[in-house]
Order: sequence, then C-alpha cells, then structure tokens
Amino acid sequence: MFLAVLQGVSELFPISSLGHTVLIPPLLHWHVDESDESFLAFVVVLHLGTAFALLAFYRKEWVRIVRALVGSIVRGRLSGERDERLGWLLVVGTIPVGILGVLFQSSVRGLFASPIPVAIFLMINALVMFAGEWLRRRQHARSERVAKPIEQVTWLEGIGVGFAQSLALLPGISRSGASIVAGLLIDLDHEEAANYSFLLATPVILLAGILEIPTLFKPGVTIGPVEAIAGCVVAGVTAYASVAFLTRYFQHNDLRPFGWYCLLAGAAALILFSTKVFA
Amino acid sequence: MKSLAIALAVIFVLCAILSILHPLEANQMTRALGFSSDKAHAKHPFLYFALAVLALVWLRFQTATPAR
Repeated sequence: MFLAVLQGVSELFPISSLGHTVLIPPLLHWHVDESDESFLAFVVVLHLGTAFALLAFYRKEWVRIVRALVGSIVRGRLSGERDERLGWLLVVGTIPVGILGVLFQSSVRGLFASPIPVAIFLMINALVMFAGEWLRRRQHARSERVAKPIEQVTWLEGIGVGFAQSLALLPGISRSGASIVAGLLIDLDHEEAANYSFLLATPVILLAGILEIPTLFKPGVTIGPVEAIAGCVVAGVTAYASVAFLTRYFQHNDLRPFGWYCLLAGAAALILFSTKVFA
Repeated sequence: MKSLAIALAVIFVLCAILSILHPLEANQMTRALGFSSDKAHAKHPFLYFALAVLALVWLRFQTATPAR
C-alpha cells in the first residue's frame, strides 16, 4: 500500500516516480527485486490506477478533445478551435515519448536504474526546474511577454514538449517536471503548462499500463485480485488528490519548492549510497 | 507530401508485421526495434500500427476537399 501511495503521489508531482521507486526500497532496507514478475505486475496495476485517476479528473476535457479529434478527421481539415488544437498537440507530443519509450526504455533503465545514477539525475531534475523558472522570468522581464493560451502553441513547440517528456525515461528525471518546464519555455503560464503536462501524461501512462496487462497473468505472479484492486484504488485515489492539489497549486506557485526537494533528496541519496551506508 | 504519407504508412505496417513475426537475428538494433524474438513485446506492433494510422490521418488531411 505504501508503494501504491508513493506511485500515486510521485507519478504526478515533479519529483520522478521511477527515481523514488529505485531509491526508497534500499533506504528502507526492503528487499524488492524490481525484475520479479509479481513486482512488475503490481507496478502495472498502480499505473492503471494513476491513469484512471487522470482520466476521471480531466473527463470533461477528454470528451471534448476526442469529439474534436474525430470531427477533424471526418472533415479532413482543422478548424483551429481550442479542443481540436489541444487534441492534436497531445497526439504530436505523445509521438516522441511513444517511439523513444518503446525502442529504448529497457536499455536506458538497464543502464541507469541504480541508486547513484538516480541520485545524480534527481539533482539534474532539480537544476532543470530551477533553470526553467529562471529562463522564463528572464524572458518575461526582458520582452514583457505575456503567457499565451494553449491554442497558440505551434506544432513544433508541441513536439518539443513531447521530447522534453521523453527525458523521463532517465530514472530520476520527472515526466511532469520536464514537460512543465518545456511548457513554461514556450510561454504557457504555470497552470496551463501543468494541465497540458497532465493531459499529455494520460495516454502514455494508460497505454503503458494496458500493454503490460499480460504481465498480470504470467506464471509465477503471486498477486491476488484483492491486492491488485486495492493497489489500483489506492494509487488512483492518491493520484486524483495529487492532480487536484497540483492544478490548484500551479495557479499561484512555481516549480522551485519541488526543485529544492529533488536537490536535497538527490544529494542525501548520493552521500548515503556512495558512502556505502545503504549498499 | 501525399506520397510521403503513403510511404510512411506502408513502412510502419511492414515494421508492425516484422515485430509480430520477429524473423530477424537478435542484435542490439533488431532487439530495440522489436524485430527479433527475444524481448518481443506487444508494445512494438502497437507503436508501429499507431504510427501507420497517424500517417493515414495525415494523408486524409491532405486529400480532403478544402472548405469553401
């Protein structure tokens, strides 16, 4: 249940869920084999819970987006209205992470999913968020720019945000952190960038969960239906609360507190693991 | 641009077929592309079919009659 809460919170907060999944078990002296079929099956269930929470939170937006996408395909042309533009931006933004994730995810994780690289990437994640906030402030101070609405984002900018999201393949780099920073750099405000980031994450998390469902039925998986449903519900409820909190938080606040958290957590983990305290 | 969209759709469908049949010998590249039998996963065919569909949608946008 702790893992379910951790997944629900850290998947959406810009602090890297994968990084926490790598760092926390050895810190708490848990003997978790992350290649074990039962553990992987449980992670699938948690991802599905998170994806359902995002779908539930943004249900009205998704209905409008899907309608607008289908309408534009039937007409064969773009009308330029907000939901249609947002829908196609989500499609083009999902392509980079889809391709890079499917082709390189397992090799990247094999290379970097151990505590010391994750601690370093967590600190890099912090620097990315600090740099994003600083660059945005500088852009706006110099040119008196104002934040633009999502329908003014260009296709190239949409692809750029998608590539930023792909950085989360590196354990320790946060998907939402990277995509919110990219959103800020293309002149979205914090609230719009966060909403765009969560909408962009939904198909990726949902499809990653659905495509891994066969893992649940592999021989050797010892997770029962009660544990699976409980994990899914706990992750879903926590994720729903997280997205509700974050969308309010980003109406008036920025990424810096999360940057400080990642910097301190990464530095502490680096010291602890490199001094073999938790080897 | 229409022919590029068609070519992409055909290429992605071929990739999807290769990732289902995975007939190639395993090496770093064929493994990453899902064309070899070890580490074969439903993700690869799904990705290639999705990209093929997107290429066809792109074609649809290019071939539809413009609005008057």
